Amino acid sequence: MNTSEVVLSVRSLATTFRTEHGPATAVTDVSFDLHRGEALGIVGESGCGKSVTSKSIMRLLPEHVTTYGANSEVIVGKDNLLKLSQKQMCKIRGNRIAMIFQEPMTALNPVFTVGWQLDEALRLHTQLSRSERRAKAVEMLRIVDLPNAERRYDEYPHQLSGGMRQRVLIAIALCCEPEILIADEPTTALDVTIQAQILKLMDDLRHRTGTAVLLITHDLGVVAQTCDRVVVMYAGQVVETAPVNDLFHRPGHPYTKALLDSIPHAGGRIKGQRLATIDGLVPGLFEMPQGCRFAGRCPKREQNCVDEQPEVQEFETNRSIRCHYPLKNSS
Amino acid sequence: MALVEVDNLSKDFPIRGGILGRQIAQVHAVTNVTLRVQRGDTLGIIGESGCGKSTLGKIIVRLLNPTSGEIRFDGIPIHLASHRELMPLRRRMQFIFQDPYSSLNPKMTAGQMLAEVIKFHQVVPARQRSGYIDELLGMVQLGTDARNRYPHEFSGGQRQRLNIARALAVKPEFIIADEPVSALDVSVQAQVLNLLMDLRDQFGLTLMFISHDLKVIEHFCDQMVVMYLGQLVEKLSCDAIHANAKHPYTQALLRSNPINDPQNREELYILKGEVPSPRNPPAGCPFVTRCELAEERCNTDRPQLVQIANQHEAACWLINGPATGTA
Repeated sequence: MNTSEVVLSVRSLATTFRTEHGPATAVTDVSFDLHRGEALGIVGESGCGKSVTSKSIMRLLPEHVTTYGANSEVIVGKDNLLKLSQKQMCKIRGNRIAMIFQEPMTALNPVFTVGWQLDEALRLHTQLSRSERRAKAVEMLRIVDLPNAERRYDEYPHQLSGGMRQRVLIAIALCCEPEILIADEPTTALDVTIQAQILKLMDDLRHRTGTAVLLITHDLGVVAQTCDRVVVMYAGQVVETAPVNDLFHRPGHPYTKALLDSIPHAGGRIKGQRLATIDGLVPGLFEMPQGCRFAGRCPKREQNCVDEQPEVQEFETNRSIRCHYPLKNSS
Repeated sequence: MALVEVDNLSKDFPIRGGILGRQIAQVHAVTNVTLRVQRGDTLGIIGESGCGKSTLGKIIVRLLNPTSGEIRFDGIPIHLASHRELMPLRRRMQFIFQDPYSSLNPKMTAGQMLAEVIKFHQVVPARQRSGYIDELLGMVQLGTDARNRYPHEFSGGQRQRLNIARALAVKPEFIIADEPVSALDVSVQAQVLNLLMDLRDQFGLTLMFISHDLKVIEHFCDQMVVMYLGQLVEKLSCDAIHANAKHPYTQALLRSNPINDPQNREELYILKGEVPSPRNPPAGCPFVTRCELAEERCNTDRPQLVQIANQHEAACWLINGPATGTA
């Protein structure tokens, strides 16, 4: 996978918000590459900066309070998205990078029909005529397995169920054949049986179109099911990047291991067994420790973890980790 | 005798329309549910959104009134009990809500909230109240300095601890927890589940645990019931669910849940279609519209829960009894 073309490269992304309490740096030193046709997962708990990362890539954060680091780069093709104007971004959003959001009701406009909202993207980004656009839109609705696509085209979002709305959002996102699809918690609001439908659909479409998927989620099960590689974030930083098998079977960062251990395991029930927990809390934005951000909760903490911030380093093959004492795994 | 006995419980919600607000239809939220919760047991209720699991929980503690059916708590019939008659029983059964923030009063401190419950139910004499509040906060690992803090000053996990402390304040025997950890991150979820497990053992609590997360139910409960479209479709022990589950819907739930092992990634089972509207559920089996194995009679006749093994019941025409083996 690593030899293939890089379609999105994020380098030292740092995003700072101006707040009434002073500047708050929500993510810092986030770097990763997304390859063509790959599904890359970004996992982490609430507040770890995974959504800020995706919104920074899309430049969807409020401009007047957001600043990016001087050496931060988000490279798509030849462009550094962080340096583009909003006008230039409009040509890229929905066209080369598309995004689907967590809450399928709020992401659709309730006063326009499904068809109108699909048409919008095609109107902005293609030269197709009105009838061609309609044909394309209905075809997209068919591709996402929406029953009665022809009829749904003229319906409003409130007439659809949650699963159907998420299908419409996927259709809108994919109608201009983007190189990159960013899916921010696409199945979190859905039931498991509907989640399975949507994950399968995204997987099929990815293999068919070669669109690279950046899947942002807190659900490790979804990652295990769909991703090729995983980026683990903690307190605004990337702590580990690894192929999905390595990550689940031989986690290198103590946080990754703690996260994996805290999920109840299906099938492996031992009655009354306690779940492993992570002591303490994530440090607040204004009280980030100078050393490793996980040090306060880490079972393997040494003195220099508290004193000195670890840098991201290579770890085994195709992996990297931000830890002074990565876990040695025998396998 | 079981602590909680529910027989043929149903709940319909009217849908009103027109300018006169006449009833134009009904939502059948819960239909004909019969179950028992044994003293000291933890019963899990699993189902997808809209299947009626929360409604069922709320009826059992009479936060909602049933349309028909019977509920007995420790042998006392409560399905028709008045507000006044319920009052002494409220001390014995408590409810923990899903959203840890909206179930706390934003204008009261943790201490005030606990004091209100303790005062109302006269759990301890006034002079011991303060000490008891500290004891409760300690029990849920919040620390006594939490007393003077307001809900917005707590994290999500801490708020749910406070909710648990409030439920425990009256020393109940029975607690219904409605999705108590689904709003929490996994590491915090683990903390709250551990806490609930410790308290359950410490006080010998009987619990009913409502969740949409199979892994959590499997980990936490002794028995579970699977709900679909307001009806119970299967009851089974939480040991070896994967080997024992017989109902096609339970199996679909199991197989559409991603497992945390990318090496043994299996294609997720795709259950076609969506849950029918509870306004007019199918006449026969509620699951018939999505079931791959459905036969003619599934359309017309509604299957009842039948015992198919020890502590195992299922409502499906295709499961006749223990003789059918693996479905």
